[in-house]
Amino acid sequence: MIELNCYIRGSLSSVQASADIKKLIPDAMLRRRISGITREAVSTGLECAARAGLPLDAIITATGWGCLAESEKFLNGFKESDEMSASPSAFMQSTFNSVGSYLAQVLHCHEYNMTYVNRGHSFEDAVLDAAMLIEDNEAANVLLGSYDELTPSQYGIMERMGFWRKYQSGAGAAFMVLSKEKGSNCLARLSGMEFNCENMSEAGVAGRFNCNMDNGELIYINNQMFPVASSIGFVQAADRISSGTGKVVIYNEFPGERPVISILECI
Amino acid sequence: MEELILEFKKHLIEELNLEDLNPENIDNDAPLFGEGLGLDSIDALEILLILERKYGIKLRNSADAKAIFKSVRTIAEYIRDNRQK
Repeated sequence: MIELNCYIRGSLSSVQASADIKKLIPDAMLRRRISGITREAVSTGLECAARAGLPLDAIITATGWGCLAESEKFLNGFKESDEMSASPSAFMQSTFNSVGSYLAQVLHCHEYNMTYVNRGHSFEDAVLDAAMLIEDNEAANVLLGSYDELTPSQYGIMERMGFWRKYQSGAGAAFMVLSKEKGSNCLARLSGMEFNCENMSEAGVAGRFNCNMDNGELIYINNQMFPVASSIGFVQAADRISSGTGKVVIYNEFPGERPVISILECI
Repeated sequence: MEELILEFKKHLIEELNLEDLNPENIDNDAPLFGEGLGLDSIDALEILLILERKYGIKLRNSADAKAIFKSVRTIAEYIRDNRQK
């Protein structure tokens, strides 16, 4: 277990986000180049940053599959033109780090900017990077988030492969600000993470960490074909802790990968 | 000609994602780049793709582009005279 000590100050999932993107990004010429999952993720990140109200020293994003719709648009256009021409706008929005780039542009945060694309533990890798930046005093406040989408074509391919008989699908975005200081708006403390764990049952995790299941102290993710599902789990955990739960253990077992465990505690 | 101008404006709005505009808001004779609609070099590449994919036009000489891309009307006139589909 890696011991950590940093604080979640402001967290938001795309389901909770409510701000009008026209107010978040008043520049119409910039806004028109942000679509689909990029728009969902950028607007969630901007609203989360606004709620936290802190000066940011770094932006770290995570995604398992990236911007699939724009990637498909780019590749389909390329194929239809017999590989003679390709849309620059679709290319720009198909890249994994487009969300982090747009956030930096709108927030004027031209500091450390990193995107992790490591399948089912992309988000946890991003969290660890943010925590290490904070521990090394290279950043005091880090905007941290994740996003993934599921296009009809990918859903269909995975359906033919039989994935949806075993796993649940998912899509969305979640952001939080991880800070060195508690401040007055702290939701929870990130106290530890463990990578490359052994597979465990729900009861096994609860037993090891002494979780009270009835009190929502365990978020057990093991059948989600949604690479950054754990980021939604972090938002839920922070909400539960700020509502009175003492601690929440997040167990994330993405199909085919070794699990990652994260522990959030009350302040 | 007016029908072609309207059709091209619809392609322009869709491909450039000009979400706050409709065809009536785009002046047929206003400059497209810099002032006027305020498009940029990436939009110029997208307009080239509209010409290629929707009308089968390949702009051979890039020196001609400045005059052709002056306004919606000049582009529509170029489409009318050179379209392959």
